Amino acid sequence: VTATRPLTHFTPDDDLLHDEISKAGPHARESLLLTAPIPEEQLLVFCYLWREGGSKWGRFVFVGGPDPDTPEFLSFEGDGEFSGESLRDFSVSGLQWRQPEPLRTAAVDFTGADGLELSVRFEGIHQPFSWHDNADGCPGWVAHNRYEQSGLTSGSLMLHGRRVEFTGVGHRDHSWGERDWNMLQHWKWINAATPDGAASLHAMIMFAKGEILVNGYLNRGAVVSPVATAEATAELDERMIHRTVSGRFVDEAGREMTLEAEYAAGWSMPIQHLLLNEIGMTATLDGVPAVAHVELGWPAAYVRALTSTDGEGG
Amino acid sequence: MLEPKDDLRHPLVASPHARESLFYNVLLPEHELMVFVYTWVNSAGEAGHLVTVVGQDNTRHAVSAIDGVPVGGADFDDWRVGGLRLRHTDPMRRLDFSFTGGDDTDLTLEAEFRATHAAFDYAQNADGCPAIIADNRFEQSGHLTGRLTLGGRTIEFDTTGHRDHSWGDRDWDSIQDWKWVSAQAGDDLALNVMVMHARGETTRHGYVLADGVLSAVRDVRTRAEYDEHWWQTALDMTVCDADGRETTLDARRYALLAFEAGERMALHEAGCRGSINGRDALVHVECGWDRHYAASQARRVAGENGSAG
Repeated sequence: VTATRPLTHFTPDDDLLHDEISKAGPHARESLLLTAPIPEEQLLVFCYLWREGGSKWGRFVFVGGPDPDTPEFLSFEGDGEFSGESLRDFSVSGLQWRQPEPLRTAAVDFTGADGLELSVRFEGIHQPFSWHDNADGCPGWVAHNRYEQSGLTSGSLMLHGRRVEFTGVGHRDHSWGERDWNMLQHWKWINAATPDGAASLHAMIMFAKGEILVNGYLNRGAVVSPVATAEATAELDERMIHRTVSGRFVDEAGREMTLEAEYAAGWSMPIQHLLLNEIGMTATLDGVPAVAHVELGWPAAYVRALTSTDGEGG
Repeated sequence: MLEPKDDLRHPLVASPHARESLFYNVLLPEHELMVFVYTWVNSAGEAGHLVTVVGQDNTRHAVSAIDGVPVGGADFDDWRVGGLRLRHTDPMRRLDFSFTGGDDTDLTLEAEFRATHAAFDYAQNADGCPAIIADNRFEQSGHLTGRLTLGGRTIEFDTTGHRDHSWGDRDWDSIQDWKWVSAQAGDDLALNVMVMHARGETTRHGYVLADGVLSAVRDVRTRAEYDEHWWQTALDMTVCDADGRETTLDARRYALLAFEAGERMALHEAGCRGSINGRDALVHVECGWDRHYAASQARRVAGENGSAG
C-alpha cells in the first residue's frame, strides 16, 4: 500500500511508550485501542488501555451486543497493574497485548474471571496514519501525535458458554500526549473496511470551540490519502444511540467514498462527563459490503436534556 | 414564500417552546455602543422585551427587561410592550421603533428602518429552517436613521442595521452551539449567516447580498477568537452562496452583551468593526453556547493567559 504523497513516517519505536511526551503534564496520557466488530454475530469486541500521568495504568475490555445499555461483557480496571519490558509485549491487569511486527500486527488476549476468553489478532492493511497529515492537523488537546490503522482481524471468544470464531476487519490506534476531553462538544469517529481490506476508511469529525475539525484517510486501490472533507449524518433513536450512519468522504486526491452503516452491536459507555456510544455496524463502502465501527461522543448532560424532554409539547 | 402579512403575528400552537420574536440592532462603533432591541410573545399572548445599550465587556449603559405582559390581540403593525413601541408601517419594507425609558432607564431611542433588499427566510436554504429554532424566520438588512439619548447625551445616526423575525417552537436546549452573524458594508453589500450544531448535525442558513443579487448561503467556514470570558473577540468567515460566489468577512469586537436563555444556553452578542470583501462593515456576531462548555473554555483561556504571564 502506498500513499498519494509522502506522509508521516512512524518508526518501530512509535509502537512503544513516548515518555518524553506522555509522562508529564496536566492531561498527559498514552493509549492503545483495538476494535473488532463482528456484526454477523451481533458482537463488538473493544479493548482499550492507557497510562495517565506517567505511572497510572488502566484498561477495559468490553463485548457489546444487541442492547446498547448492557454489554455482553465488561471488565474495567482504573488502577491497573502493568507488566512487561515495553509495549512490544506487555499486559495491564490481565489484558495481554503484543505487537510482534512493528507498526503492522497486534495480538490481544484476555481471560476474565467472570466469563470471557478472548483472543484477537490484528494485521494492518496499510502503514499507520498520523492526523498531522490532515489539513486540520492533530490538535494539541487531542494528542501530541497519534496513529490510526485499518486492519484484518481474526480470533475467537468464549463468553457464557458461547464460542465464536471470527475473521473480519477492525481498527486500532495509538495516541500519546495531552488529552483534554473538555474541548469536545461532539464527535464522530468512523472506521470501516471491506473484508478483503481493498477499501478502508478512517474519519474523525470533531465539534470543538464551535467549529468542525476533520481528520482521517481513505484507503482504496492500495493507495492511502488524507481525508479533505468529511460529511456524516446519523439517525439517532430516542436515547440518541445511532442506528444508521451515512457519510461521504473526499480525500486530497479528489477520490470520493460513501459509507452506509446500520447498527449491529454496541455499548453506550459513560466516561467522565461524556457518553461514548460505541457501535459495531453492518456497512457498505461505495456499495460494497463492509464492516464499520462508529463511535459518537456526546456530553452526557446534553443527552439527558434531550432524552428527558423528547416528546414533550409535541 | 414570504408575504406582507409575515410582518405580523403568526398562529402559535400551545407548547412550552412556542414563541414569536423580533430583533433589531443599531451598531455605533464610533461611540463604542451597541443597541439591542428584542421583543417576543408566547402562545398565551404574554409578551416581553429586552432593550439594552452596551459597551465593551458587557458594560450595560441602559437595560430594560420585562416579560409576561398580556398583549391580547395586539399585533406588530403597532406593538407596545412597556416603553418599547414598534410599527411595521410598510410591510416587509419599512418600520420604525422607539423606546422611552422609565425612572430606572435613562434611555430614549427612535429609529426608522428601510429594507435594502427583500427579506430572506431560512426555508429558502438547502438546510431549511430547523424545527428546533422556528417554523420559519426571516432576516433582512436595512438602512437605519434615528437618534439615541443616553445619560443626557444625544447621538444622531444614519447607518445600516439588521432585523429578524421568527415564529414557532424555539428549543434552545437542543442546540449545541451556534454562530449568527449579520453584517453590512453600505446598503448594497450585506449578509446574514447562521451556522448551527444540534444533535451532532451542522446546518447553515442565511444570505449574501452582493452586486444586486440576494443568494442563499450554501457553506460557511468560521474561525473565531475568544477572551478569558469565552466572549468572542474576532471572527474570520468565508461564505459560499448558491450562486457560487465566495464572500469573506472579518470582525473585531468593540462591544459585548452576555445573557442566558433556556436551561442550558448562554448568548454572547458582539458588536464589531469589520469588513466584507475588504469593504468596511458593521458586524454583529452572536455566539450561543452550552453554559458549562463556555465556562470550561473560559477557565482554560484564563489559565493559559495566567501561565503566559
